[in-house]
Amino acid sequence: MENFDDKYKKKNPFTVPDGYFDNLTERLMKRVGEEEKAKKKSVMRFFPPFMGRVAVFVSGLVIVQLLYTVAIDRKLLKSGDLAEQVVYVPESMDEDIFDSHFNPTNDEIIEYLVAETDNYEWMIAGIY
Amino acid sequence: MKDAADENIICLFRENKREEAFRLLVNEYKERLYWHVRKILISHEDTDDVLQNVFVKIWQSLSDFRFDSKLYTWMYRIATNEALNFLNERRRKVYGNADEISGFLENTLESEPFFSGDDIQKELQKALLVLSDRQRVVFNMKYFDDMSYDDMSQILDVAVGTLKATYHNAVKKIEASLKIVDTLN
Repeated sequence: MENFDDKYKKKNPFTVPDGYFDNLTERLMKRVGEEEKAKKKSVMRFFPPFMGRVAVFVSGLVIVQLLYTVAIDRKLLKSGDLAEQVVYVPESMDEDIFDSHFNPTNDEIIEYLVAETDNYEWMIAGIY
Repeated sequence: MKDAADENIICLFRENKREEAFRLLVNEYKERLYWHVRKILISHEDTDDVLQNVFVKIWQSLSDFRFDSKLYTWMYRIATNEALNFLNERRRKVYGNADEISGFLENTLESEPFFSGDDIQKELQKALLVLSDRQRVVFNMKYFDDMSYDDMSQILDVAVGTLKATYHNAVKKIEASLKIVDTLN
């Protein structure tokens, strides 16, 4: 190996163009910047170009809907209508709609149904 | 053990000054990585292409790098893999076979405009082409770059014992090849 070293020495026989290493840093920084841009673009490519416009349109609709709702609520609160609606209890609610004393027999129920329903409906229902 | 430049790069990166860290990294390692790749590929033009890809990969993977290991062994590993993949790809395109060893690089050496070595150095470079790519990488790292077997082991992911045997076999092969050339001359 010593003879080998003496003869061939550890000398680098390759060269580079003049000023190659001086510009290399800037070229590499530029290349990396380009790759970053390309990467961002490729991510955006997943979304069709019209998707941006659709997103803006839908967002606009949602915002308009929200503003409209808020405006209506404020208007009602100002005029007092909403407050009235909230506290309003219909008079009928005070009545006892279930009469606990009313307890008809089966015959009474059939009699009522016969009076309220014509024969044709009974035939369809398969009773006759 | 990390050197001061590596510490500086790591600090900048952790402070989220990515671009500044990368610029420092490029300035620190561009020449070392260039020569490492150049000895594998012979051609300056090919080396320039591969080196750009190497730094793009380094930039893209820097956030995944665990800073508890040596920065330069990690970068050498990326550079070595890129260079060997480039060679295989080129051979497949030109010869349709990635196993073709010396023909492609011998032609490159003969036509390389950026070679200033004398006949004896050209002789050695041709003798190196007798080796497999892996053997040549091991020989270059040990003989020309004086790299430690431990660092080589980390870069190439090969046991130190295997590297020593590979280097020994490479030297034997080169000596045999040069003897044949001497006899012919």
